[in-house]
Amino acid sequence: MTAGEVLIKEDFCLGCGYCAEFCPTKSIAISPERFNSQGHLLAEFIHPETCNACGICAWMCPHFAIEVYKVQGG
Amino acid sequence: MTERRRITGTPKLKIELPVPVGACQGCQHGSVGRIIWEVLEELELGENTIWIGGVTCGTMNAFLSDLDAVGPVPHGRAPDIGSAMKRLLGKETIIITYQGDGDAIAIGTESLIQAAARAERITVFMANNANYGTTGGQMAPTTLMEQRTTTTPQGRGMVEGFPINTAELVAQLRGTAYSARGAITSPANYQRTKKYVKKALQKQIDDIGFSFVEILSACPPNWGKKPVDCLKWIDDEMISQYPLGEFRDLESLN
Repeated sequence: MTAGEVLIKEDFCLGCGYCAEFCPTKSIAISPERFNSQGHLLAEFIHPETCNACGICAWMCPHFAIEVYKVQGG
Repeated sequence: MTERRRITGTPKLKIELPVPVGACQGCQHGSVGRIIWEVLEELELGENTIWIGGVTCGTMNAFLSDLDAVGPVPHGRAPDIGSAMKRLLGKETIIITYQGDGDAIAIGTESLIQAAARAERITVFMANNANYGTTGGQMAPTTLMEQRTTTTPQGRGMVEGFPINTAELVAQLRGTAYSARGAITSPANYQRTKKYVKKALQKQIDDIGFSFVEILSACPPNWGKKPVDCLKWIDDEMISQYPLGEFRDLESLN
């Protein structure tokens, strides 16, 4: 089984929504209620089961808040 | 057995990030910096690159990575300082300058054009966000016609005149080996811009001539739009006045 894993560094996320806009499987969304220490709404990895680790969210993130991993086996 | 492989993330050249983050929400200076870092990483140039930051919001990028960097240098004079460094240090050293539109084409027009005319072997990256972002959104030479800024509240009109298409302007000069314009409004444009940046650096490595890449970048607070709407605005309005593509690509200047 292959799955993607997206780590969001919450201190750096400013909630601009580029990751959620361009995610082809809509696995990321901007949370309606969670904030970080700077008072920005956070991006959340809501659908781990559909993520295919394409890395587009990390390319589009202007604030270096996203790391993408591919997990195989398990 | 589980195998966990890193696909992408923070460029490896980048070592230190400040908290709180210095950028505004949705500012694409980080993305422009990211493209440059990724290309330097792919070309293995991290050891002998000097990054010269002009006076622009994006100068913060210069000090986030472990590259050698100077900045902010005197306003608009980054190509001059780059030229001097290149001549003193020789062609093993890769010189890149990172400038905004106010820095490169307003106060620094003469420096940029003369560096291109002298065929200096440096690479200039210009982030074009169609206003003076650092000082609060005044009209810049790259502001679009009809665009509202704090100094053109009725929209830019014939009193202010027409905007400057920098990539085409630089492409006219005989010393320029490469001139292109990219944007980061979609994953496809991201990869295309990365290709331009790679080609521009390759021109410098091959010692051909001056290379220039202009990158359209979003400035959500000064444009008064949500970040995602800014990317749509670039796609709909800005690209029609600033077409993407390569304007000059020479193998040799002679």
